[in-house]
Amino acid sequence: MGLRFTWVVTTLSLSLLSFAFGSEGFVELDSKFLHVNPRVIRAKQDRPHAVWAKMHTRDIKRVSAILKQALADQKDISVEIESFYRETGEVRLIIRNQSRESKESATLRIEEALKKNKNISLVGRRRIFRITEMRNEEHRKNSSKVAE
Amino acid sequence: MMGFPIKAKASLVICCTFAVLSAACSSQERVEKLSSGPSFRNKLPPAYYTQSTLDIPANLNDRYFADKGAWSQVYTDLWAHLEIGAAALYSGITLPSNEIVVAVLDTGVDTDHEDLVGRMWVNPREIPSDRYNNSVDDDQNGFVDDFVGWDWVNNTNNPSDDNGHGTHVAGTIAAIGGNGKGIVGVAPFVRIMPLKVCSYDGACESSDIRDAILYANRNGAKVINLSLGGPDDGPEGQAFNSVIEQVSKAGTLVVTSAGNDAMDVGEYSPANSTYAMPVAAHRSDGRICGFSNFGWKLDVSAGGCGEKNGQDVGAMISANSKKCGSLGDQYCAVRTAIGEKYSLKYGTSMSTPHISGLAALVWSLNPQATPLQIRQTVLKTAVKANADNKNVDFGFGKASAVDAARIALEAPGIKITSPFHGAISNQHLLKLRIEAQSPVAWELRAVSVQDGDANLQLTAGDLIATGTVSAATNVDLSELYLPAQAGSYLIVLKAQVSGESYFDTALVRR
Repeated sequence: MGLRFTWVVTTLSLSLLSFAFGSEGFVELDSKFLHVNPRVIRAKQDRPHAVWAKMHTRDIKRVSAILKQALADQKDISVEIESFYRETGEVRLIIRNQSRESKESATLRIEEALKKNKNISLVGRRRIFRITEMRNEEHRKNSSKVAE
Repeated sequence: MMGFPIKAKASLVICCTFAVLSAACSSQERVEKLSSGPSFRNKLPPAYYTQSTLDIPANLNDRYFADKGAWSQVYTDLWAHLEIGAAALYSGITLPSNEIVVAVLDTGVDTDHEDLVGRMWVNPREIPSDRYNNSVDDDQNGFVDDFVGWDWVNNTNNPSDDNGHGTHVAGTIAAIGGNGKGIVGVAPFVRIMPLKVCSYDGACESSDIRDAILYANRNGAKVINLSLGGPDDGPEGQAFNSVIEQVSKAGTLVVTSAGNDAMDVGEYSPANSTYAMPVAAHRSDGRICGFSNFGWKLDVSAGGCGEKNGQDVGAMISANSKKCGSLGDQYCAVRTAIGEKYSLKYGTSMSTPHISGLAALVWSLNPQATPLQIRQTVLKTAVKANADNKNVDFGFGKASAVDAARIALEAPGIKITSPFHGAISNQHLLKLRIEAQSPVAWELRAVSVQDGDANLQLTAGDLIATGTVSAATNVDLSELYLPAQAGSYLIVLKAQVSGESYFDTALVRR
């Protein structure tokens, strides 16, 4: 969806520029335009949200299996395990919404699905911030998204 | 150190002989006793004290200062520091003893690092023993033996750094100048209050951060550095807004990173708090780092990444913790080219401490200033990204120390305290705060913001209200008369003093 939306915006932008300069005119892409728009698109389309849950297992191999089972029916949403604390069984899930659905709605959908699984208790949305240091992995991830 | 009195009164010696003080001592006597005399100093590890004034040589001989190519890059090693120009202000002088304390809420700080040793804040109201604690909460603040800060993650009084991030931040702010080692901080004469709120993997609980913000303020920190954050999901952002407003009104400036998610900083907490000072990151070639959050809420920008083949790369050198990587190499990669005592990082985490250091520097020149005035001084003197007043990527521009120091004494403080961001109606109550030492003429405008606008002239748009004040004043306007057309508007508060203009802005929709 993100790819399609970006493509539509870019195509539309190029069309408008072509129109503005005429079909045979020199088209100079505005670097500011290209710079700002992917950032705006990304902010709207790909903002992750987080949910804390407590897994009734401390076996890390079972965590993925339980989550996969609990979220088997959810469409257009991917859930990643950001951290799992073996001592407490707490898991922080990062939810990425690939649909046009709002993040609040998508998060509620995930929470409802998790609640139905007897191996999971929701802890809530205890907020965890992160240090704002870029890491190579994050940078690669962000760059690829912006370039999509 | 820290203004400890030379002499202890005789009565204090009589009534306060033991480490656990008798109830007969008054609280004032207890404080004086705890912070006085050689017996106290002898019980502190040497790392925590030094002389009360600091001589910084004119020719800074720190290894990476003014040198280049430490990691085969073409620009200066400490380029972001040199860009701000702080060293030009303080090298070759003896700095005053009214030391500003900067709290670093982070992964902890390596207090023994060769470039930070002796520069830590010490709680004068807490008695340590030879083993760094006496198991008594001497100052009754709820934290036992918090004589150099606190660790909320492990609930201990040892805020050491098991990641490396907090030490890097602290080094950018306060690394010792002229010691022939490593780097020099933007404000090498300040004290660092290390408050560990983030674990070894860089995760930081919001409730810990709020507690630590209040702790820093109650213990005398003038500046709080928050090189952390996350997307705002509502209630949490409001809670941060409340705490940051509280400490701001109590004399502490909160400097926050804008974030690395390439998203609108208005939706990123705690950078979007009304009283916080969000900092973007730009590259060594002057362009904005691609990851840096953007938007009209941005205040200012400082160096936060390098450039190589058009990509953002690690180019911010600072101190590294000796525990870096002890809990997993993935959290702290050591670059062999510059050894283990220093590291290269990048992010808005790295640009933020440059501004914290600059704020502390300005504050040392004008100790009577309020947080708002310090913030205004830094914004006013930033080097604009272009001819426009405000830019969606750089805020008011790239910070500059020399000009900030020049006007440190006369800057007014101006702030739109409500509305902040979001949808409003025409009947919205508008609140301003203006702190002036001489007559200040102010005006309020609404500037239409079109989608995709990158820069704005803040003196354009519809005039809403004007006025003049000559002292600290709260101005409440019962209605905000926005132009009739629906859309996004930047509310611009402009104040003029001695021919200089100062701005504050808030983005609203109707």
